[in-house]
Parts: sequence; C-alpha cells; structure tokens
Amino acid sequence: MKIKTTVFLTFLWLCAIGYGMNILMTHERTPSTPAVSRLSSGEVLLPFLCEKPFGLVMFAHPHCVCTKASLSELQWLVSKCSSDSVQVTVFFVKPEGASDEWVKSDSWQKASELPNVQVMIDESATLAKQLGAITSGQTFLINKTGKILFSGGITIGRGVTGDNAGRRAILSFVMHTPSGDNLPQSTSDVFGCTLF
Amino acid sequence: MQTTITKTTQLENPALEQRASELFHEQLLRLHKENDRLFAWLLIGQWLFAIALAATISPLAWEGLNNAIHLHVWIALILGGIIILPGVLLGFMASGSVLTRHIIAIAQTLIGALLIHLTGGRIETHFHVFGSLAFLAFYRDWRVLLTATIVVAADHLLRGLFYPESVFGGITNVIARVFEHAAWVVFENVFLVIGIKRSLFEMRQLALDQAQLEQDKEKERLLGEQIKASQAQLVQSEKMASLGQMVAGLAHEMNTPLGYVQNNLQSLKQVYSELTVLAQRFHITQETLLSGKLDTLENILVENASYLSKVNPQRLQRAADIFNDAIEGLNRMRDLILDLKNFSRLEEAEMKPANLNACIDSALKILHHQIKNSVLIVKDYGQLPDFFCFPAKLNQVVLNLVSNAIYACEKRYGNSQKGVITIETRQRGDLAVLKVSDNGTGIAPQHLSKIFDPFFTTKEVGKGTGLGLSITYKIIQEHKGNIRVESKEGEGTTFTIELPIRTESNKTSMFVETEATSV
Repeated sequence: MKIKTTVFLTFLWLCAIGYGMNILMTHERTPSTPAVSRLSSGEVLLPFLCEKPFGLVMFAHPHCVCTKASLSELQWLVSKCSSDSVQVTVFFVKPEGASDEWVKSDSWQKASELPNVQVMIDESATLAKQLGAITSGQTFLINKTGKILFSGGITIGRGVTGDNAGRRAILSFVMHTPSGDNLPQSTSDVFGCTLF
Repeated sequence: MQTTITKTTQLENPALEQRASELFHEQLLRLHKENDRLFAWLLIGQWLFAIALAATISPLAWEGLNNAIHLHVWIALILGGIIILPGVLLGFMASGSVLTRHIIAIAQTLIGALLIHLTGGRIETHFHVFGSLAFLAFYRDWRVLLTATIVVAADHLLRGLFYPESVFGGITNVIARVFEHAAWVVFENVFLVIGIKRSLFEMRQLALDQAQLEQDKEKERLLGEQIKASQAQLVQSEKMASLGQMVAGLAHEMNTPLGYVQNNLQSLKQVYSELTVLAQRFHITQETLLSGKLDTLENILVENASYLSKVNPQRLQRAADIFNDAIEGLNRMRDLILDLKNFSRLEEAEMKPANLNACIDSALKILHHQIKNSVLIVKDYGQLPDFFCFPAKLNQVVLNLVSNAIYACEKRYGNSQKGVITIETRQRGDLAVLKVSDNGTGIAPQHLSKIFDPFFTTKEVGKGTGLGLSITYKIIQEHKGNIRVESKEGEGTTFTIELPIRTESNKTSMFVETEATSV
C-alpha cells in the first residue's frame, strides 16, 4: 500500500512539473501579435533610408527583455550586410506620458553601440501605429520604393537567439535580390512585449 | 590482494565480518542522512537563486507604459517550489531513506532544467548538470546517479523535441545534440562510479579496521577483568592466609589457657569432694556430740583422723591460687576473642578514635605463639593521644610488619639464637610515628624499590603472596600517612610509619577503599 501511494504521489508530482513546464514552453513559443500593414505603408520610412537600396527598421520597447535577443540578431544581420546596401534604424517607442529617460534603457544603449545603426525615438508610437507594428522586435525590410519586403520578428522565440526564418528572409533579400519588387512579402513570428 | 584479505577474514572470523558490515552500513546511513539534509538546503538555495535569476533577467512584462510581473518570475516561484518541495520535505523528515535520495536526485536535475530554461539555453547553465552529478556522487550510490542521468536525458530529449530553443538555444541538430549531451553525462558518470566504488571499498576497510579494534578492545577489557578477578582472588587468598595465620595463632593461644583452666578445674573438683566428705564427717561428729552417744564418738573421731591423714593439706591451701589461675586463663581467652572481634571489623568504613600502642599490643597477642619461640620483642612506647583511624587496619599493618620481621630473623638465625624486634612509638608534632626494626636478613638494595609492589616477594613459594606490604602501603595511604623503609642487607630492616593525628577538631572524612586493602 505504501509503495502504491509513493508511486502515485511521485507520478502526481512529475505531472505537476510537466504541466508547469508546458505552460512555460507554450508561453515561450506563442508568438505575439504581428504587424498588420499595407505593402505601401513602408513609404513613411523612406526618409530614414539615407538613399540606400534597402532599409531595415526595427521597433523596440525600451524595457522588453526579449528585444535584447532581437538586437543581437540585428547585430548579426548588420555584420552580414554591407553598410552601403542597407540602412539599419531602430525606433524605440515612447508611449504617451513617458519621458526620454524612460526610453533610454539598456536596450537603447545596446542598440546605440551597433555599428552603422541609427537609434531614434518614436514619439507617441506614431510611426509604429502608421506601420501597424504592435509587438516589440517587429522588423520591416523596405526597398527604395517603400515596398515592405519583410515584416516580422528576427528571433525563434522569446529572448532566444539563433538561426531563424526572419533573418534568413532578410539576408536573402539583401544579398540576392537587387530590389525585390516582384517578390511576395515575407513574414515571420514576432516575440516580445506590446509596444504601446 | 585486498579482496583476498577480506575473504580470509570472513573465513577466520565471521563475527568480525558481521560487525564490520554493521559498522559499514551505519556509516553509510549516517552519510546518506547528512547528504539528504545538505541537499534539502541546497534545493532551497537553488530555488531562491532561480527566483532571483528570473527577477534579474526578466522581471517584468510590458504593455506600453504598463507592466506586470513576468511569467518567468512566477514560474521560478511556483514551478520551482513544486520541484523542490518533496526533496526538501523528505530530506528533513525522512533523511537516510532510499526514496529520499532518489527524489532529491530528480529534483536536483529538474531545478537545473528550469535554470537552463530561464537563461534561454545558455551553455554555461548546462554546467549545473555536471555539478549536480558530482554532488549526487556524495551519496556513494550509483543508482542515484542513474536516476539523475535518466531525468537529464529525458528532459533534454522531450524539450529538445518540443522546444529545443530552451535547451540548446537553437533548433539545429537537436537529436545529435541530445546524444552529445548524454554522452558527456555518461562520460562523467563513468568516473564518478569508479570514484564511488573506490570510496565504498575504503569505507569497508575502515569498518573492518574499526571492528578489529573493537574486538581487540573487548579482548583487552575481558583480560583486564580476568586480571582483576585473579587479583581479587589473590587478595582474598592473602586475607585467608592472614586469617589462617590469625586463627592458628588464636587457636594456639587459646589452647594454653584452656589447658590449665581444665587442669585447675580437675584439681578443684578433687578439693571439692574432699571438702564435701569433711563437711559430712563434721556433721556426723556434731550430731553424735549433741545426741550424747559418747560410746560411738571415739569411733567417729578415729575415722575422722584416719580420713584427715589421707587428705593433702597443700591442695586445700592452693585452692585459692588455682581459682585465680583459672580466672586469669579465662580473662586471657576473653582478650583474645576481643582482638579477633577487632580484626573482624576490618571492613568498617568509619574512622574512630583509637590508641596506636593498644593496636600494636593487640597484634602482638595474635602473634604470641610465633614470637615466643623465635624473637625477642622490645617495646618502646611513647605517650600518644587517641586519634581517628581505622584500628583494625592498623592492627593489620603491625601484623604484616612484625610477621615479616619474624620471618627475617628466623631466616638469619634459625634456631641458634633469637632475633630482636624493636617497636617504637613517638609523637612528633601532629604526627604519630611508629618504627618497627629487626636485626634479620635485611633487604637487598635492588629489591628496596619494589617491596611495596603487589605480588613482589622474596619468600619461598608458599610462604607469602607478596601482597602484605602493598596492602600495608594502601592502608597508610588511606590514613594520609607515610611509610618508608631503611635496610642493610645482612644487618636488618627498619620500617617507619608516620600517621597524622586526627582529633575531633581536625578530623576530615576519607574515602575508604575496602577492596584489596583490608585483609
């Protein structure tokens, strides 16, 4: 009887742990809300291209932990792409009522240290709203005409770096396609906090 | 080689092997209990660390300006708590049991899995697995390592299949990486198991040594008891020998006065019958005179004269002396019996006031039959006050010293002449000094330091047990006194005893050892 009770309780215990792990993993793997934008919405980003063929723009919440992984991936992309072909800009969203000091977090510091990367504040999330970006880490790749070639995240999970569909897509566009006008938009899951 | 020794031991001494096995298992159980409690604390520490880690790396989840506690913190708190709880409870409440250490092994590896997840599969966090296995090896139980390894492998495989990012930080070559990680774990386990086996072997050897030591100690103890018993027997023999000596002396001493009391009573019986006849004759004579029968009176007077001529007048005159002799003989016997009573009170635990000179005389009476034929006793008594002592034990001391002196004198002179034993007492300040000197054979210089040692004797076999002087020494120690000996071989020996004079005002209680000191 004692053995049966022990086995039963051990089984219950392991089930409880398994359930907890499942909650955790489900949360980690469940993507956040992607951007909903028109193809041409990218025109608003043209001023930030600096006359380069491609513009890579990321929207980030200043305090989202998962965005640090996105910035790491961005760093990897920057290292792979020529600075003449891509202009990289990171917009840190400043919600209404927030101060500039609130925006300039560790992530801001990290982004500022990336070579050839512009770091800017998106006042009241104006640009993000225009582009339909909702989740921190939302990244857009646009071409010279303002067409959004890629919209999505560049991580495989919350706060997890490594090979992912987003960076592969971006790299494919930048490295192999002169303008990408005729190609369909590529998307991937975004993992992060809500921007506003 | 060492295995052979164990087997030989088992064949030669199964009791030793069994005791060694008991000691080994006791030690192992103690080790398990200590480790269980240690791990219980370690689990608590790791749980708190997991919460701190989550709170540091991902404390909050944001929505614009609003925030809430991040899921990771809740997971660390709640899931972490669920993981460690059974291990902690069992570790404190059921330490030492098999179930406890296996639950602890599972909990330890799962808390590591949680830490790996919270750090996003960071490679450095994987070191926790290897560290955990090393700690679990403290149990010296390879099965615990097996449990931990199975859990690690299952966790890596399951999470690797469903969410490899949390284990490896990426999704490439997941299966291969699972096996790679497992291989490293097995690699470490091999060496840990070797270490465990060596450690267990050393523990067994230690247990064997300890069992041997216990056995040797027990043998020593039994031997000690045997020696003690033998010593007690010998002391008892000494007691009986002294008692025998005393009884022999007493019997001899009692025999003499008993003899002449008996003889005197015979003489007195004769005198009594003569006096009875004389009284009868007187009665007849008186009646004849009063009756006036003068014709028979002459016959009666002639008969009276005839009877009187047969009576011994000196015997009648000596009757008073005979009575006195008999009374003296009876007094002597009474004194002897009293001395015997005193000797029988050797076990008394209370000191009482006694006179040393009287103690000496009492002992000399016991030895009277030995003294009168062999030695001349010269008594030189000083004025001594009564003081608190154990009178019976001091009697014993004098008996021992004088007996030895008599033996020495007899050995030197044989029957040619009598040796001289001088007994001197003096008061010197607050000390009573007793000196017993003889002009016997003396003691050889090389023996002087040993004469107070138990069982040391120079007498022939059967003449002494060698305990007399050691008992004497102990008795003097009990009295907080001193005893020393001066001797010249071929000339004689002097024993000097100093005893503190304790009166009512300065008497202190003493702890009395009756064993081996009283005879």
